Amino acid sequence: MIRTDRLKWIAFLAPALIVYGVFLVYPVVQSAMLSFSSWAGPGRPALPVGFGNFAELFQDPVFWLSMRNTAALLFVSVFLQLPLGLGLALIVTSARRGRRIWRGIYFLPTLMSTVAVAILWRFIYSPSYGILNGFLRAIGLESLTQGWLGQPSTALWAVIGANVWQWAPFYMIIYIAAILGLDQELYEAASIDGATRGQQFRFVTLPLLVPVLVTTSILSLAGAIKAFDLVYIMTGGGPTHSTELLATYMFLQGFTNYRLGYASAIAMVIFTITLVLTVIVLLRSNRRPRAKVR
Amino acid sequence: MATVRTRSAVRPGPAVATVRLLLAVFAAVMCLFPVVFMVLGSLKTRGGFLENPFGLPRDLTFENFTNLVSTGFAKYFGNSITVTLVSVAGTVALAILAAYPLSRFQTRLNTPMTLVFLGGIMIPVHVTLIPIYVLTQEMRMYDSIGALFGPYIAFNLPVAVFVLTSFFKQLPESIFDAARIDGAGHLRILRSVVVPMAGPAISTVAVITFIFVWNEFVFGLVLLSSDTNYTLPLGLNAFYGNFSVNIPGMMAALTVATLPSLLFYLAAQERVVAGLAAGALRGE
Repeated sequence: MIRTDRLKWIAFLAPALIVYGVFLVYPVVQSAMLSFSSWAGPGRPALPVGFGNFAELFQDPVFWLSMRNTAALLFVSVFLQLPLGLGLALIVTSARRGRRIWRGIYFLPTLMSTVAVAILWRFIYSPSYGILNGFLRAIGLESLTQGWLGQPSTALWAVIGANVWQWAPFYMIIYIAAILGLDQELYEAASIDGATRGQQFRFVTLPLLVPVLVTTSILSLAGAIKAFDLVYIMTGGGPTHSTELLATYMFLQGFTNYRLGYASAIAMVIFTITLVLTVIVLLRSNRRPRAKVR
Repeated sequence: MATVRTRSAVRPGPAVATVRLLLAVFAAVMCLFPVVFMVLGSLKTRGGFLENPFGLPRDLTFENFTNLVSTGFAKYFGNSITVTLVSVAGTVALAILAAYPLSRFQTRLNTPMTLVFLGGIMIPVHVTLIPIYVLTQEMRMYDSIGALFGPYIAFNLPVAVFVLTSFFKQLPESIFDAARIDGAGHLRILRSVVVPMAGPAISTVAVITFIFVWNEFVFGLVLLSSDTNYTLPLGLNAFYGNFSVNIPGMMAALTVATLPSLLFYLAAQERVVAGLAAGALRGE
């Protein structure tokens, strides 16, 4: 180890610190300050409004709608997307042959760029030539065909479905790495004790995966809160805000309506929720005994 | 009975194996059908697609791909390659420089400094969007691909520093002693000792950064405004707005845009998987 040489220490860190400070730390601080002002953009005066933006926000029905929609996405991400990812991982890891091939096939949705996924799913949901309606017609459920993205009653769930399709394989990759890293002797011991496959999963695999489940929960919560690209391209938050998320509403207020202060207030809500959820999950996971093996 | 059960735990019976295979195939169909729809669509004529959107193309054509050449598509592709190369190189270089003192210098400041970088992992992009937009205008960088370098590198630094610091820490102290006895300075040690040994960690960082930058959309949306500066994701989005009537043309564009990621994965799949598992701290 090199004894402290402060000057050289800081010299090596400086380039990274400058870029990180200018483009990440400083913007977060400035966002916090902007959230207490009313501002229409560069060249215009920024007026201090105290908690005015937040007061208005909490009265804003579209804000609450986007909170509700974000919560729905968050719920589905944790309770549907993660189990699906785990299921895919179990299929891959239990395959006797061709693990890489299965993994490659399942991973394809996450490999595609979000923009491509969004455009593709617009075609899938299209009322006239979409796959979904075509499939329903083919199995004789003509009455169920509809414009999935065009009506408020189905648009949110249609968008969430595309999101699950895209990101479940991402979690699969993490779970595969975790499952393959488990000690194989434990399974041998369990099967000598007469444990069935199901019992092995319940009493060996699952408890050992707890730390990874915690990490992936944080990831999918954070992912749901900042979800933007897919919804922006698929519906733009519409129709009539029915698919509006916190991030799309922030974008709408900031870059369409040029209410930079108000948009910053929404950004701070996004920031606070991410922070609180991360802390809660971390605290909960520390209270529980971590997997003892390893 | 007990023997049967033990056997079934080790080697599944034919019924279990069949069910498992059916499940695997069903999942594969769910993952693949949109992709197959996309590739088949790209090989149809416009009329052929409207008559027969789902089946195999009856009038196979590659026109949709050759037509892409005359659009701005090549330009988007080139921009994406430039932005990705610069951002990956910048992230790797800055992270190596930062990880070296954080892992090999002895100072109490290392722990707080590491935490400063780690904290960035959880910051949502949207929290920085407005200030970076304003900053870019003030720096007169607005609507140039150069505007993307700073945010892209900054958002990839936390994971990169984290991965490289933990790797550098595992390098044996003896090789550093040997290099110092030979009179090598810090930069020389970095170049001739650390970097050659850190190949796996550096490629992990490069992979995570590549995936993030190649697909990044929202910074481009905010910081670029003219078509000629668009990266691939923005180009596709603009394409969709302009050509939404020409579905096979759109499908061809989507197919071409997906190919680089696919080839990248096929060429380096173990590295991509390891990179995602390591970068999992950030996600997306």
